[in-house]
Amino acid sequence: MTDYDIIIIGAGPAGMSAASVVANGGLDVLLLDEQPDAGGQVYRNIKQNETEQNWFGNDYSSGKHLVNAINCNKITKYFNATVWRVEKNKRVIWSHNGESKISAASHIVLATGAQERPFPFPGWTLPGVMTVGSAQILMKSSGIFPKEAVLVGSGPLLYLVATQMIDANCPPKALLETQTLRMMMNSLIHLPKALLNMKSLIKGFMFIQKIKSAGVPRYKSVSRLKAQSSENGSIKFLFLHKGIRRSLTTKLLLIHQGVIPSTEISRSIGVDHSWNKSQLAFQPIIDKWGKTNIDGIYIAGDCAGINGSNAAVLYGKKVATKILYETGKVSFYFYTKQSLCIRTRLFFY
Amino acid sequence: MTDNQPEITIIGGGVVGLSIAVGLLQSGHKVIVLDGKDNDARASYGNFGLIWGQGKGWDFPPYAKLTADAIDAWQNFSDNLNELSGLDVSLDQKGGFEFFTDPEEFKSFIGMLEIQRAHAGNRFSYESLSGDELRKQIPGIGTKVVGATFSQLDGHVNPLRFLRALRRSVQVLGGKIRSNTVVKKAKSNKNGGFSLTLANGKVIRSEKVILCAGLGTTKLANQLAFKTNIRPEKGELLITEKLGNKLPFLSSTIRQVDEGGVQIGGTNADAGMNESETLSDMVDLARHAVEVYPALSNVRVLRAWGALRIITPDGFPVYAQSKEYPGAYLITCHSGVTLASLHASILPDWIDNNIKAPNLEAFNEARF
Amino acid sequence: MKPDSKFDILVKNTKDVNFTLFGEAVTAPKGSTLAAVILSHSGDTFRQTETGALRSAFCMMGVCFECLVEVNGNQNTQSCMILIEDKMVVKRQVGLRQIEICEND
Repeated sequence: MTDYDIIIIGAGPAGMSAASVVANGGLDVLLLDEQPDAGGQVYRNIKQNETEQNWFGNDYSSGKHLVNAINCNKITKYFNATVWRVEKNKRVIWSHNGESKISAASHIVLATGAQERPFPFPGWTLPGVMTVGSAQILMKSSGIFPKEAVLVGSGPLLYLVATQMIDANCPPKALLETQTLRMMMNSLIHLPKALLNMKSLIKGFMFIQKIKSAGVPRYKSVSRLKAQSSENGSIKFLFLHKGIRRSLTTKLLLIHQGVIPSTEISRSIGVDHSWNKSQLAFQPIIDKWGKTNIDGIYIAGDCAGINGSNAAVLYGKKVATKILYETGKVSFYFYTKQSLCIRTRLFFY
Repeated sequence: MTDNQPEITIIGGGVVGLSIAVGLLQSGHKVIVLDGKDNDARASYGNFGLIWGQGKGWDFPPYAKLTADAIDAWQNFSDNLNELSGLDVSLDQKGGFEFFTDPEEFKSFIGMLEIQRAHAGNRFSYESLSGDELRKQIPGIGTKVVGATFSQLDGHVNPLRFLRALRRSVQVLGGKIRSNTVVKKAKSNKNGGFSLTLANGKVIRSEKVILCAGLGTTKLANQLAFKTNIRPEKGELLITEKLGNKLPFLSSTIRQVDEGGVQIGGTNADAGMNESETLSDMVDLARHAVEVYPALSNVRVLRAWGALRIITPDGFPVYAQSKEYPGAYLITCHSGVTLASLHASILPDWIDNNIKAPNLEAFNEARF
Repeated sequence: MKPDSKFDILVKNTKDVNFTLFGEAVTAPKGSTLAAVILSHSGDTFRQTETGALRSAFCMMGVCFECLVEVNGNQNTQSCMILIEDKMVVKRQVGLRQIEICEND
């Protein structure tokens, strides 16, 4: 006996997309998210941020229609809902307002997204050391910006947030990159696919130009990182650059080494996982529809492998379409047509 | 001795195997421990850390005595491990409770403890308290508790640190531990010693073999003409967030680890080899904890897991020497933590069969 | 003398929620997470660990458990996961969580 047709865990891009598609197809959905509102990390606080600032670009505002699409009576939503157990027989046990609930469905979609890759170095637990992602959350959700920050690490988010800070007139004090020339050479094997995603490459190039034009000092190939506490709650950050030990004092140290799939729930259910050598992270093993080795349990979005929010929306749609077909809500014709359309768009991610 | 020709090979690197290794190494033997894979059924990973006497052996006097000996020997054992490994396992032997919410169960357990006292003489004693007396002594015990028994010698250690101390002690003493090393076949050699075929095809020859691989033992035991059949019994545990308060009691189902988290356990289920935790058992454990100590009701549970206990046909330990293949030993029990102190002290004498050898005849296979 | 916040407030939202933060009466915009308000209010740290180390928020998304404070008597509460509410009483978390023992009558 099920309470819902589908339970979707995570109301970020993948979860919202899947929810709206299956709801439109006539299925009852329970959508759960542990955050206070929908949007995941990428579209944080999108409802409140209907003001004019365009610090966050067009990608951010495209999340609005997704959040609106989940306001439909076939979707029952709970926020600040913590899922703490998912069983193979498709029961989800979750807490809300201090009470535990059990909900059963015939299909479960995990759309739990990604999180920062832990990036430990001596002193990383000091007050004032935060992730680059957290700074972005503060900017989006609360309109607060770092007074003075040094950014260190690698990965696209580092540059994105640096440019967002520059646009808001709070440029970083310095940008420290940990990737070495060797690492960059090794990543060239991914170049062909990246070339197809010209838009992203150009965006990346423009970020770097913006950072240069803003006069933000850039240190490449830094290593031997160490943070120490300094006066007035500041941080003294020590690092090695071109063979010389340097130090920078800053109020905030924002760190980042890419994002990795959040696999806590998928691992606890017993979904098979594998180690992705190029992304250096564990990810669940799924087929092209997001099906796992456990009957009725699907996975969509970055929690299956990092491809970004736009791809997550498409993967959510894909899983939803598959479920609609399996439950007889759409015809074979619709299913194959949609799948081809989604597959084509996904090719660029 | 080379890696390929150890004097004594211990098959099984859990609490039992490692404790025996420490004892054998300290009495001058050359020992190698072969340990299975991380995701084998490893009872030791789920150990509750109890060094417990009350209720043990009321129906089997030799076990009551063995348990009393083990509890006595634990302080020395802990000091020994500390000296060898540098780790303090946080031994605490200030007494433990069993709490009861059912009057019939309470009465029947007291009956068992009386018989246990008769068997063990002055080596075991206990107190029984009514619910009201208990609440006077320990404010905060729930009103549903109708009574409790208390035994002054019961205690506990930090379960994971204990495992770590054992491993390190074995290594410091020069013993080798080979992980991910599953033994597929054990056979005795015509000119003495044993040949152990590993999963990867390699063969290890050893003068003596000690089987204590818990649930992995049965197949190998049969190959060496042992008769004991071991069955799994599942226990589940919850652990809570670390608390700054000191829990004012130790019980066999609720105890606080030295780091602050409260461990709650005590279920028994016949689930075959499935060690997954179940929601209904988790609920029962939580309900039990809140009934005994209502202040725990808002505490967060961090983890829940299941582990398979090692149960012999009558539930009591087996210490057996193979008659057909002298030099092969079978050691299995489910109170591996309590008995560890003896496994590290008197068992080497039993294996050597010297004049100090303890009489463990009551625990051999003849009783099955 | 409490240290200055390390953040600038660039979006001036209406401050309409009144609550008590680390002993001080504070107003902040509705819809803000508690952790964000703590960070923008001052440079105070959120908590002290059992061994005395000072800690503040780190990930702002609920995975690191560094932003723990006491909210309305409930310790070990992740401040990045809750929104501020009127009359909330927020205290720093010092050491491990302490529970109240209910004595029987």
